[in-house]
Amino acid sequence: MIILTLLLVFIALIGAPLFAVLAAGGLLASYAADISPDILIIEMHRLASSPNMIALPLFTLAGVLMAGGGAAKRLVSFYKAAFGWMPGGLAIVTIISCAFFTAFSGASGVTILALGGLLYPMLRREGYRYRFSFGLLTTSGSLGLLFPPSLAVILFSIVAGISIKDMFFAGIIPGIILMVLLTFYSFYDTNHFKLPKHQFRLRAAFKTAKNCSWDLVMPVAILIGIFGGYVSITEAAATTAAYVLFIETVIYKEIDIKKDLPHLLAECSILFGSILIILVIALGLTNLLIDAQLPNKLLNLMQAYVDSQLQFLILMNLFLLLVGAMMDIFSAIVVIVPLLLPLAQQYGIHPAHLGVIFLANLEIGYSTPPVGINLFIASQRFKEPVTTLFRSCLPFLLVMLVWLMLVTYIPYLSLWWMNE
Amino acid sequence: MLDTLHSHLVTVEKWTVNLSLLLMLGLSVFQMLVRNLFDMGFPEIDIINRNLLIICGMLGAVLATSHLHHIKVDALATFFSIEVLALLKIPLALFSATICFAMVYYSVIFCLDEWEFAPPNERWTLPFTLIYPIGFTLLGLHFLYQCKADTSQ
Repeated sequence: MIILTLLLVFIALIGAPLFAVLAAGGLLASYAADISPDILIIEMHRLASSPNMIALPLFTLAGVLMAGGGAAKRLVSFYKAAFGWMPGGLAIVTIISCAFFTAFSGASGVTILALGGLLYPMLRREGYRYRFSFGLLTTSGSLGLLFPPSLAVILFSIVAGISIKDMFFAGIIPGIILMVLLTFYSFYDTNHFKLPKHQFRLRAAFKTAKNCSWDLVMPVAILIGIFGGYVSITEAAATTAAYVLFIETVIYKEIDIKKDLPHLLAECSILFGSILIILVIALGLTNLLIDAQLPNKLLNLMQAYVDSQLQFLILMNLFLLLVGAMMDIFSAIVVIVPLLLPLAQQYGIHPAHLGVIFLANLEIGYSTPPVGINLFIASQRFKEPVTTLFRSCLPFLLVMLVWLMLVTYIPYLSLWWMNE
Repeated sequence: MLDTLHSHLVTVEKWTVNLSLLLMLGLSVFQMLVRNLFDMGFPEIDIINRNLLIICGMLGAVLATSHLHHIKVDALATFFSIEVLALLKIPLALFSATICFAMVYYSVIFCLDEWEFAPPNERWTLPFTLIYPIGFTLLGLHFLYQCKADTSQ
C-alpha cells in the first residue's frame, strides 16, 4: 500500500493530471478499507449538490468576462488619473488594479496576462527599473486573493465547511495590510530614481471615473450586498455574472455575443471544470482518509513533538510555504485543508484565521519556484527567464513574508469582526 | 476520420457546456428576482441548477482534457528535458484513461443504485446522474485520443 501511494505521488510529480492521481488514490483507499469505490461518486454527487457551490462557476464567469472585455484598460486609466500623481504613483496604480482584478479573476494568472502587457510598458516609460517592474507585476498577480469575491476564498470555505461570508470578512484587513506594505515598499524603492512628477487633474480623474463607473460600482455593490445581508453568496454571484455580461456586451460592447461569448463561456467552464473535478474527487478521498483515522494519527504524532500554538504556527507556515512552492492553490486547498483543519483546531486556531494564513502562504507560493504559476505566466508574457523574474520578485517576497508573520501571529487582524 | 470525430465531439461538448452555463445563470437570476420581488421561489430551479452545475463541471473537465488545461502538481517535470517529457506523455495519458474508465464502472453502479432507491418525488432528477458515466467516458476517450495524437507526432 505504501509503495503504491509513493508511486502515485511520483506519477503526480511527473505531470499526471491531479484528478486522475486522486481518483486512483481514492480507489486504492476504498479497496484498503473494504468499501465499494462507488462511495467516491456518492461523495462527488453530495458535494456538487451543496448550496454554495453554484457561486463558484458564476463568480468564475464574471472574472472571465471581465478579463475578456475591456475592464483592465478602463480601470488602469482611472487609477492612473486618480493615484498617478503620488510618489511611486504608477506602482500604486499597479497594486490597486491588480488587487481589484485578481479578486474577480480568481488569481488564475489572468491578472498578469490582462494587466501585465498594459502596465509594464507604462512602468518602463515612467523610468521604473526593469527588475522593480517585473517583480511588482509578477507578485501583484495574486494580490487580491483575500478580497471578495475571490474563488480561492470561496473554495477554502467550501472545503473547510465554514461560512463564505465569514471568510470574506476575515480576509479584508490582511489583504489591505499587504497592499499598504507593498505601497510603502514602492515609495521607498522608487525614491532612488528620478521619476517624472504628474499633477493631479480633476477633469481627467472625473472623465476616466465616468468611463469605468459601471465597473467601479460592482465591488461596492457586492460588498454591501453580501455584508449587509441583502443577498446570499449565490445571489451575489448570479447578479455579478449577469451584470458583467450586460455591461461588456450592451454598455461597453467589448464582447461580441456571437464571436467572443462562446469562447469565453467555454474558457470559464474549463477553469471551473478543472477545479471541480479535483475538488469532488479529493474530498471523496479525504473522507476515506478520515475514516482511516489519518488526521487523528497525524494529531497524535504532532502532539508528541509540538507543545504550543506558537510552535504549531511556525511549523505550519514552513510547511505551507513548501506546499505553495510545489502545488497550485486550488489543488493545495482541496488536498491539504481537510487534513490540516482538525490539527489547527486542536491547537486553538480559528478556521477563518487558518484560512487567511493558508491563503497568505499560497499567495507567496505563487511567485516561488518550482511551480509558482505567476513566474511561469510572467515568463511567457514578458519573454524573460523564470530565474530573472524570481530574482526580481525577491524584495517583494520579503515584504510578503513580513506580512505573513503579521497575519499569522496577530489573529485579531483576521478575526476582528467576531468581537462585535 | 478520428480527428474529424474528435473535433465534432469537442464542438458538441462546448455547445452543451455553454448552454448549461447560460441556463444556470438565467435560472439563478430569475430565482433571485422572483424571491426578492414576489417573496416566492421554485425549489425545482435550485435542483435543476445543482445538476447543471455538475454538467458544467464534468464537461468543463472534459474540455480541459482536450485543451491540456488540467491542474497538475508537476514539480519534478520542471527538471526534465523536453525529450523526457515527450516520452512520458503517452504513459501518463494511458494511466489517466484507465482511471477514468474505472470511474465509469463505479458511476454506472451509482446510477443503478439511484434508480433503484430514489424516492418517487425525486425520480425526475435521475437522468441528470448519467452525466457521471458520460463525463468519465468522455474524459477517458479524450486521454486515449491524446495518446493517438502523440503517437502520430
